[in-house]
Amino acid sequence: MVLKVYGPHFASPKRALVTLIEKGVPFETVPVDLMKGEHKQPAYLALQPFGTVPAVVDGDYKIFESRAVMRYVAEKYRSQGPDLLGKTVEDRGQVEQWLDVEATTFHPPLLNLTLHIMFASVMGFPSDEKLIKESEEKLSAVLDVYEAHLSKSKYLAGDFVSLADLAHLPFTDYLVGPIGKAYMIKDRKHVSAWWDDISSRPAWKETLEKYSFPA
Amino acid sequence: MVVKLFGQIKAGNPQRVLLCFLEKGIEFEVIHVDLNTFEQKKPEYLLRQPFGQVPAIEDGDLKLFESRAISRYYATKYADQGTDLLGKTLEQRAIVEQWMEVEANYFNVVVLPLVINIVFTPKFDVALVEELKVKLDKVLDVYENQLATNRYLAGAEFSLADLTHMPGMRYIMNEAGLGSMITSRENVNRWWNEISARPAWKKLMEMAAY
Repeated sequence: MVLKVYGPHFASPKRALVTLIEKGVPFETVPVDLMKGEHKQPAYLALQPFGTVPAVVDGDYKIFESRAVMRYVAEKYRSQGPDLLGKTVEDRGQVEQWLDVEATTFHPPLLNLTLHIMFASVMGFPSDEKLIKESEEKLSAVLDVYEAHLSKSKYLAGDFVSLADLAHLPFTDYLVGPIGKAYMIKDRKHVSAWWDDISSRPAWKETLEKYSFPA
Repeated sequence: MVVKLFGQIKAGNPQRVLLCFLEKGIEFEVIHVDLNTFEQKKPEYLLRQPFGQVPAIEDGDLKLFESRAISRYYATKYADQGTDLLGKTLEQRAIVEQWMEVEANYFNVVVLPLVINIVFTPKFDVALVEELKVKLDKVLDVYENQLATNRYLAGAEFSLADLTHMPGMRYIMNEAGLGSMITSRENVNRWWNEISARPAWKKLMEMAAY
């Protein structure tokens, strides 16, 4: 039985999808209709009790949280495709460090921008201008740290591309596209070069081609 | 050479790492970073942790920050020593990872602002706190369900998934005055009582000397 990823058209599931494609792992996707509230129905909650996407089913095995899925896939298929966890325990420590930075520090302000700029009208809540401004300032300060770091390191965890870099792809794709703040990336020389590099990887291009939100 | 942990023993995120060291029987040294004088934002410290947060560790040539990443590293490196915190198989580890992510993305995102407001802000935003409590209620309902059929979050054994919650849970039960959210839930209450009775946790509480 082939691994299934639920909710492929949304951003967080794409962390899992790009990892599967990088590692050459076969999989199927199952659409989840968020607009119809499918994610709050008992059938979906049995797979992901918080009612968010993605959920992954691999035979009898179930796992959710996109970054946990990334780690699972990268470890299980360690011997095929690029080694997205690094070679040594120490390499992996750096990968984990920047994966956690993405989750705890980069993602929260970017999520605010995503919700309030892209989805407020669709989801039916008022867009908070003050929050948008504060979130952009916070994200800017974070990107300044990235700029300094990437001037000394080709990728986040070192000289190899890893889960830490890939984890940034889906929401940064929103930032430079529909959110309309590409300058936050482009105006930073090393962040811009890093973004061009990771977003031009064939696995990411394939992810976008196949699973972009239907227009 | 002994690993150095930069931070404050009373601060939540350093406690995550200290608890991991204590569970694994790893020797360590704490280098106090004075959060009250914003030492963590000074240039010398920013070289260690560019976001100006605690903790950071230095272990010979290895430097790491992000308490969960540090915990994962040591739990992996010392897999055969002390408490097994990552499960025995890849599949078990992934479930531990899943619930560690849940702590970061669902639990901490509400508990952190709750604690900052209730405990550390003189005139806090009452409406925001009420909103956050509603969110925390929903998250704890999921935990209550999970812990009805599992002794610990990731299954039958204590793991990093449980450990990573402990500093935040301590605030909930103490300074934040939200203990009733825990005691009113039979399984979450049982889980907290069991994990906070662990010797490593008691040792950490001794060190913190609240």
